[in-house]
Parts: sequence; C-alpha cells; structure tokens
Amino acid sequence: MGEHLLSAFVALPFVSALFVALLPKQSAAGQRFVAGTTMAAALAFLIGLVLGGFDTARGGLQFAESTAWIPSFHVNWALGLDGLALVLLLLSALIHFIAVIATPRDIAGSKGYYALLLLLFGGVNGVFLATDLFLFYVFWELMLIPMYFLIGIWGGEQRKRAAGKFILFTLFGSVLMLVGLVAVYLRSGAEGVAPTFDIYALQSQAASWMTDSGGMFGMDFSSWIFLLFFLAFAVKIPVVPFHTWLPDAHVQAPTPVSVILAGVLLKLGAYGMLRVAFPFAPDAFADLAWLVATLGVINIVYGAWVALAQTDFKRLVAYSSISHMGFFLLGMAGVAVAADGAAHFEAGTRFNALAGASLQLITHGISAALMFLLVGAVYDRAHHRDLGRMGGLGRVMPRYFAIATVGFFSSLGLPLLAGFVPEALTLFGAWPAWPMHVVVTAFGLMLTAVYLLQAYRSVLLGRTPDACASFRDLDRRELSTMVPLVIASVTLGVAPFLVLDLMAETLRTILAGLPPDILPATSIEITEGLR
Amino acid sequence: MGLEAYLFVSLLLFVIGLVMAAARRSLIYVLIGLELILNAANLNLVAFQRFHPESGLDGQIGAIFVIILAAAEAAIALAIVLNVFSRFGSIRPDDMNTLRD
Amino acid sequence: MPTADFFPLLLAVPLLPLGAWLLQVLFGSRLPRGGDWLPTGAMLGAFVVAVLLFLRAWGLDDEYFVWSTSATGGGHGWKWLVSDPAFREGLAAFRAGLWYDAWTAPLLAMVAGVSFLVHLFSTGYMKGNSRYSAYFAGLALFSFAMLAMLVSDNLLFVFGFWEVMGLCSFLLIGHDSLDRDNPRPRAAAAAVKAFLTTRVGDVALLLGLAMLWNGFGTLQFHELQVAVPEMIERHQGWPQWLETAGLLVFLGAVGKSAQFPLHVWLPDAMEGPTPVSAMIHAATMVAAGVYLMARAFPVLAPGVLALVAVIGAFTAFFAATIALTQDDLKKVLAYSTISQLGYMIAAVGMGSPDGALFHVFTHGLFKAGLFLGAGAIIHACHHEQDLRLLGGLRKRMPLTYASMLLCTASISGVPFLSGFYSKDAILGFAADTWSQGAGPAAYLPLALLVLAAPLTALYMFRMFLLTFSGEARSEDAAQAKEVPMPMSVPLILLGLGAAVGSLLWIAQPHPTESGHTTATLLAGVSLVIGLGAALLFFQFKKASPARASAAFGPFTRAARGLYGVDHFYQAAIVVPSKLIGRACAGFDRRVVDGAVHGLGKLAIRAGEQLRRAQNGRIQSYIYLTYAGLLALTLFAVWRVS
Repeated sequence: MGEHLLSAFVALPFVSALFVALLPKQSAAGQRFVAGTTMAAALAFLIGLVLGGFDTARGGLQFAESTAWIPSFHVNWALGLDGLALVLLLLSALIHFIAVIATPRDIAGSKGYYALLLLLFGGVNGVFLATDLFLFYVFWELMLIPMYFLIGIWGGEQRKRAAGKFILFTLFGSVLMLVGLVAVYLRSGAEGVAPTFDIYALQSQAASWMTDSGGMFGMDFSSWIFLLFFLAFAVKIPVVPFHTWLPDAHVQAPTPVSVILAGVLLKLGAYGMLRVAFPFAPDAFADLAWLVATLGVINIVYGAWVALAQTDFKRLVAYSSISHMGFFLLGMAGVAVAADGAAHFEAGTRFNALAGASLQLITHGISAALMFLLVGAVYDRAHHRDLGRMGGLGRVMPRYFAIATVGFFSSLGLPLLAGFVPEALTLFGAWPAWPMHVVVTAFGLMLTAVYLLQAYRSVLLGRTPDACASFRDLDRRELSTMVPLVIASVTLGVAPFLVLDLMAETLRTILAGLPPDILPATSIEITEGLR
Repeated sequence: MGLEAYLFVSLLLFVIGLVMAAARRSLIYVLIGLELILNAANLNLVAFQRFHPESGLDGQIGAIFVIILAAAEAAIALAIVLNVFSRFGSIRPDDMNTLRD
Repeated sequence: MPTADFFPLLLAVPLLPLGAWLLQVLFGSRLPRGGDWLPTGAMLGAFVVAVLLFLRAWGLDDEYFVWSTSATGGGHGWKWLVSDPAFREGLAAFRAGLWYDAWTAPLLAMVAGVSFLVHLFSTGYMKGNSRYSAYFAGLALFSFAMLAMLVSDNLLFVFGFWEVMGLCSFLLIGHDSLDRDNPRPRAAAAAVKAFLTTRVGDVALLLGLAMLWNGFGTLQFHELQVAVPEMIERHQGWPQWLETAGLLVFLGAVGKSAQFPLHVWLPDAMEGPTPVSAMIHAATMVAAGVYLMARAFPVLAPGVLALVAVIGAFTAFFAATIALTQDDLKKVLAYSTISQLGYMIAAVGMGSPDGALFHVFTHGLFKAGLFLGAGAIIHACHHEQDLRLLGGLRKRMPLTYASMLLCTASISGVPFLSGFYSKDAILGFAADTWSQGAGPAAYLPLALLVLAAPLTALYMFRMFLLTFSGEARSEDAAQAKEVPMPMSVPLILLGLGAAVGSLLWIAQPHPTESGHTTATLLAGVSLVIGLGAALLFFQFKKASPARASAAFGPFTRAARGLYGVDHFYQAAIVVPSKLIGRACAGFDRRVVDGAVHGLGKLAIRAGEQLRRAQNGRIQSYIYLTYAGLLALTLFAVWRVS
C-alpha cells in the first residue's frame, strides 16, 4: 500500500464514480453522499499528508511510483508528488467538495451528474500527479470529457453551443500537445538511448536540445517544443486571444461547474506550463519571455477593460478570471529573465516572480470560486444576471453583503486578503526585467478596481428594486459553501506562509531548472540598485 | 513487334473502356466498358509476362484470375442491373442518385 | 536603545479593536444595543493602553527614542511569506515587526483617543440607524487598520493596512446608501469615487515599493534609513530610479491625503455619516499619507521634496479658496481638511517631517472636534447642514458652541492653542528654508502657505459665525436643542484637546525643534487679517460678502465650480475609459470571437461546397477517380524526373 499511495488516491474518485453509477437512480441523496464523502476523504488525506508524511524540506518528488504500462512505447504509470502539486491538489479537493455542496439537492439526472463530477475530480488529480507525459496527456483528455457533459447537459439555454465551443478549443490545444509529446518522445530516443515519456527525464535532457539544429522552417527544435506546448496550455489558462470559450462556458455552466472551471481547471493550463512547456524548452522560454510577458499584460489589461463593459454579472466575473490569470504569465516572464548582478537579489527577484505566479493559481482559485458562488446565489433568487436590474442587496441580505465584500475585495487585491499577495509578489518580481510591462499592469490594477467596484455598487449598494426586496438571505447550505473560501482567503492574505511553506522548496527546484537570460547591465538602468 | 505495340493496344482498350464506363447512358454499356478495362489490364499482364519470361507464369495466372473475377463480377453486376431496372424503371446511371449526400 | 519590552502592549493596541470587530461581525446584531459597547469598550481599552505606552516611553529616556522588533534582534518578527527562518530568497526574507518611536507614541494615543470618542459619539448620533451594528463593525475594523499601520515597522505592512483603511472608508461612506428609511444613492457613488481615486495613488505606491524592494532588498524603516545614504554615497548622488521611486511613494500620499490633483474624492466622502467624516476623513486616515511621507522621508530625493513642497503648499492655498465659497457645513470642513493636509505635505517637502506629524497630531484633535461639532449641529437641526439656513445656534447649543470655538480658534492659529504651535512649526521651517537661500523652489511654497494662512482664519470663522451668531434662518435651526450625554462628552474633550493637546507632543523630545519669531509674526498677522475680515463680514456686517466675492468675479466663480477639476476628470478619464471598455468588449465579441466563429463557419461552408461532389452519380465518381489517378501519376513522374 505504502508505495502505491498516490495510485490509490488517483483511483479513489474513479471507484466512487463507478459506485455512484451502480446506485439506484432515485437515491439522489445517496449519490450526493458518496460524491461528497469522496471529496472530503481526498481532502482529509491531503491534509494528513501536510501534517505528517510530506517533507516540506525536499524540493523533488515524494511518494513517487512507476509501473510499466505500455512497454513498447516506454509509457509508464508514473505518479509523484511535490509541493506545488500538493497545494494544487488541496485546492482542487476543496473546490470539488464545495461544488458538491453547492449543487442543488434536486438536480435532475443526479446519477450522471455526480458520476461525472467524480470523473472530473479523478482526471484533475491525475494531471497534477502524473510524472509520465503520456499519462499526463491521458488524464488531461479524461478530464475534458466530463466537463463537456456537465456544461452540455446541466447548463443554461445555450449550453450545447457553449459546451461545443469549450471542447473544440480545448481539443485544439490537446492536438498541439499530442504533436509536442510525440516530438519530444522521438527526440529523446535520438541519441541511441531508449526514448522516454518521463517528464523529469525529459526536463533534464532539455538542456541538450538547446543547441539542437533539428528544427523546421528556420526555428530550432527547442522553440518548436515551446510554441507547441505553450499554445496547448494557453488555451486552457486562457491566454488572449484564445479566451472566448471561457465567458460562454461560464455563463452557460451551472454554478458548481463554474466554480470548478474557474477554481481548478484554469490552473491546469498554468500547471502544464510550469511542468512541461517551460522546463522542456528553457532556452526558448528565456528567448521568448518578452512574448510571455506581453501576453500576460494583455490578459490583465484587456480582460479588465472588457469586464468593464459587461452587464452580465457572470460574464464580468469570467473576464476578471482572464485578467487575473495574466499575472501568472507576467510572473513567469519575471522568472525567465534576471538582471546581471548581485546573486542575492537575482535569486530573490526570480523567487518573488515564481512565488507570485504559482501563488496566483491558489488565490485566484479561491477568490474566483467565491465570486462564482456569489453570482450563483444572486441568480438563484433573481433568475437573471443583469447588473442593471439589481441593487441594494446589502440591505436585504446582510450575510451576503459581508461575504460578497470579502469576495470582491479579495479579487481586487486588497491586502490581508488572498489576492494581494501574489499580485505584490509578481510586481516585485517582474519589475527589474519588465518595468514597462509592470507599469501597464499597474494600470490594469486600476481598471480591476473600477469594474469590480462598479459591479459591487450595482449589486450591493443603492436602491433595492422591488423585485429584489423579498430576497432571502443566504441559507445554511450556501453559507457552508462560501465561508470556507472566506476563511481561506483571509488566512492566505494574513499568513501566506501556510501555503508557501509547502511549496517553497519545490519552487527552488523549478527555478534551478529554468536558467534565466541574464539582462545586460545597460538595459536595466532604472533598476540599477540591483548592483 | 515489341512490347510497346501491346501496351499501345492495351492503352487504347483502357481508354475506350474508361470512356464507355464514364460516358455511356446505359448501365449495360458501362459494364461492357468495365470489361474492356479489365481486358486491357489482362493484355498488359500477358504481354509483360511474354517479354519478361524470367518472371515465370505469374502474368498468365494473373490474367486467368482476372477473367474469372470478371465473369463473377459480370454475373453479379447484371443481376444488380435487373434489380435496378425493376426498382427505378430505368437503367440510365443518371437516374440513380440516391447515394448522394 | 531602550530595553523595555513594548511588545505585548503594543500588539494589544490594534488587536483590541480587531477582536471587537470579529465579535461584532459574528454576533453584533444579536447583542443588546447592537453590540455598540463592544467596539467602544475595546477602543477605550486601546486608548488606555496607548496612553500607558506613551507614559512609559516618556519616562524612559530624554533622547529621541526608537523601539522596534526588527532593530532589537527580531525576536517577535512575523515571517510573512515563508516561515522557515533559513529561507531568505526574495520576500521570503521579509519579516514584519512592530515599531514605536517618538512619532508613533503621541499619534497612537491621538488616533486611539479620537477613535474612542467617535465611537462614543456615534452611539448617540447613529441611534436608530437600520444598520447600526454594521456601522460599528466598520468603525472597529478601521480603528484596527489605522492603529496597526502606526505600529508597523515596514512600508509593506503600512501599505497593507493603508488599503484596509481604504476599504473601511469605502464601506462607511457608502453606509447611508443602504439606509432602510432614507437611502442616499449618492453615498454609493461617493464611496466608489473615493476608493478609485485613492486607488490611483495606491497603485503608484505599490510600484514605488516594488522599486525600493528591488533596489535595497528591504522595506524596513530602520534598514532604509541606513541603506539610502549608502546608496547615495556609492552613486555620488541620487540615482534616477530612486527619485522615481520617491515620486511614486509621494503619489500614494497624494491620493490618500487628498492632495491636488487627487483631492476630488474627499469632499464627496462627506456623504458618509458625520462621525465617520470626523474620524476617517479628518483625523486619521487622510493623515496616513503624511505619516507615510514622514516614514519614507529617507528615500525622498531633493527634487521630489521640492515637488512635494509645491504640491502641498498649492493644495493648501487652492483648497482654502474653495472652502471660502462653500455653503455646506461639512464641505467647508472637507476643503479645510484638504488645505491643512496641504500644510503637512508641504512641511514634509520642505524637510520637516516632524513638523508635519506635529500638525497631524493637533489637526486630528481639532478637526475631529469640528466634525463632531458639525455632527451635533446636523443632529440637532434634523440633517440641515446648509450654512445659509443655520445661524443663531450659540444660545441653543452652548456646549457645542464652546467646543467649536476652541477648535476653530485652534485651526486658525490663535496663539497658545494647539494649532498655533504646529502651524508655527511648519511656517517657521518654511521661513527657515527660505532664509537659508534655497532659491525660488523654496520661495513658492512659503508664499502659498503664507497666503493660505489668513484664508484659513477667514473661512473657518465664516463658517463659525454663520452657524452660531445672528438669528436662526430656518425652522430646523430655530428648534435646535443641545445634544444629549454620550455626544456631548467627546465635544468637551476634543475642545480641550484642541486647546492644550499640543503640550503632549512638545513634552517629548523630537529630532527637530521648532519656534521662530518670523513665523510667529507671520502667523499673528495672518490671523488678524483673516479673523478681522470674518468679523467684518459676518459678525458686524460692516461689509457685504456678496460684494467682496463679486470683486473677485471670475475667481469666485472658478472656485465655486471647484476649478473644473471634477468636470475635467469626468470628461478626460471616466467617459473615455468607459468608451474604451465598450470598444474592447465589442472588439472581443466581433473580432476575437468573430474570428473563431468565422473559422467555424468557414469549415461548414467548405463542407457545403465539397458535398456537391457527392452527387450520387457513379459516372462522375469514375471521372473523379481517374482524374485523381492521373494527377498522382503526373506527380510521381515529375518527382522521378
């Protein structure tokens, strides 16, 4: 058992899904119970690992296991856990658990719904834990299918269209990933050794691809790998201009599915970049960091500006997700480039950037999930999401008011709430290498405040229209979905070390795998304090 | 007389057969066209075998094989033509397009 | 360095209101009296602790003293990002601690005291409010943030609590927009405007911190004090990036302390309940900008300081002229606050952060007194706050009258009252700088400050006389009665504070001492001019204010129109950014998403075209097959040859 701990963990949701499928159709409560217990058990297991078992002083993989799966293609069933994966798994388990609670008890076709939710959970866990690229790909695809059905069956009026758009966009990314995967597999065997799909073996080989001339159309192999994987994961993050599936999917998806989509699935794209796209092509990553930084800033500013003009509450929050995920890219660009000079500062700046980028995944997961729950609570009462027809909910729903204030301001990046920490870290870390980008980002921070406060005002402040006057305040079930996120947001804002302690060593390891481009001294006059 | 002469006749047969199969307005002629194409191939097989004796009897056997196949094909095809006529009341290929998308 | 451990008491000061806030949020509405006694009691506790600390520090040493966790070995630091002490990359090395020095000591006591009095006043003023407990929760959270900011030992946490104050300010300004009986939608707009305007400065400040951190690897006060001179020495001058960083930090203060050109939010913030205006928008939060400037003083380059002085002095004058034209009681006080903050900022700019904080201290006392007095008047006159409709309140509200008289005299610089000393310190310093021949850059701020001084006396006494002397000019004013017990106590105490509070500051040793004959003379002349004019116009009616304002025709109109700044922002920033937002959304829908849909449609169209070939005719298939065969053959032949 000990050496197959992670296999058991990955298998758990699939077994539960099977179990739910075997339950009689009419026992919705039983299905809900099985799904909820599975998520809770996973969460408890992970918390157990945090408390004892997981060694935070080690940056590498722990509980690693590997069994041959398809020997003729050197594909292994290989799993391993490091700090980053652990933190993301915790987030995923929490969000999935909340999603189960946030599901209405009387949801139609509950059997399929809960089974799909469990499959999704299993797929996500697999992606986070897989250390074999092929296995990673399999789990990646496995997780898309339940999402497609969850949107397409339980969504809003235009659900089929939105689900179709979602699947087409993500399949586009998957195809690119498949090409990249085959390419690195074949390349890894080119020197007369056995080819491999092992992500870490490929990472350590990647250094030798830098000088490789085996490219096409004037680009070297490393750049091709980078572009293929970057685009593959960019769809998922999503990076502008591959983002238009996200608002449609969010608007059509039921609340719990939106919560998972924003809280977990977007992070998978970023995780893929951190694990695969960047370390597989560190050279191209450093060369193309300007592109990563620019795309990040475009995400931040453009997403915020589009959000500014939205009248649909949920669309607005969806665009705010796009805007926030830009910080991940900006932070990563800060990792790629270091200023020439004192080693202490160089390492420190890049650590800030990486910590900001990876912490953004967690904090955005928390605040976006909270925001979508808040949207859902209003929608359940008003049956529309038109900001123009709401108002004054702070008067009729005081509990909602309190929680929404945390949600909005966490999203806005208010200190002492989760959103601030990664924003500050990213700005601090990206500043030396990308001062102009950071200035534009600061402008984006302004816009973020503008659209969030506009929405806050039209939902919570001002006059209460008659249609909203009779809304009941949040009930116990809704509170039990939101309060954990509120607590998480405040805790992370006050004591971010609770999360960073778990992954600090892992971040060190990742930094070591991404040798930076050293900026020439002349190009950073503005930060000459570094020397 | 060299191989080219045989190939030329074969080509002529093939083109005639192709045009018949593609252009004639009756299924019977289309079938005859197909037979001609097969026979063009047969001619090639036999001729090549004749001019490359080192290959043994493969060409001849192939030709006989094709003749047998052609006979079977003609039998089935004529049966199909009969069925087509009873169903569509015509054996003009243009009248049959129920396979269109 | 004093050895006494201030740690537990110092930590208790912000934690008391924090605990009260938590209880208030969770149980407030279910407690008797809406739980108002909880934050009020906690603030009283915090005040007592702050005074204890003050006394302990006072008796400790007769030199300028500093106590901080970071400077004394860091036993109590809060390792914020990564708790492992060995992990020191980037901000993981950052450790937040507490800080207590001769600036913090009186300010902490002042803030805690004013907060307590405002809490107490609110129990009367807000009685019957439909969101009574929520209001007290907001006050408590604000007090926590302000006190925590004052005891932070680094710029990052100062920024953090500064932002939390912004949130509380936002919530409390918007408080009345959710009133059950009498909702004020304009309060919501004012709240948003306040937060967004200050946010401009906040974002700049965050960038400034990013630059400072990357430059020095620290944001601790005491480390910056050492690192900056080293950097200058190494560079033989101020590096350009450091000047930029200083400018960005200053922008933060411009937003928070409502300096020109980001002053527009503060007058609108008067939509909030009056005790909130007294506490947040007069005594404490808006002074945080000045506090920041004083703390960040080592990183401000001379060029930046010159700009700071000019902006501050200009704001002092500019806001004073507007205050002169306002007819709303609270608006006069709001512009007066902006003007006084200008004095403080100018003091920092001229190189006297000590003078600036001295003025923060006294201003906190008398401005809180003025606003609470205004609150008492508004309360007594059934929410009438138009100066043209007040009057004659001297006899009906003698206590408020006495308190406000002291405060008004203090702000106007009547000798031996608090405001006199602090303004004297600033003007003295300005005159000093000038007399040392610092050039026109020093001359301009001094001139503006001196011009603003008589204006201060004039607009303050205008407000005071229009309110209290003469006859009541409305029913509401005629029926006013003195405010009852819980509200009168703060008035008395703040009136006393306005009179003698400055002693507490002067009693402690400070790095720069003040007192100047030139300045005293200037202040005296200004007072006589301003007070004289006010008496002539509004007490003895010897001159007509209407004719006086007509004499300044275009100038008056411009001041009444707030010099068009609000309109300019509306036209130049708000409207265009909304338009750009709409354009971006349209672009997103039509072009970006349109491209995707276009691609989808293209595929469908292509399919539609291709399906024509699928016509079901065997013979056309034969043609196609042979055409394909031919093409392949030709291709093969071409490749071979």
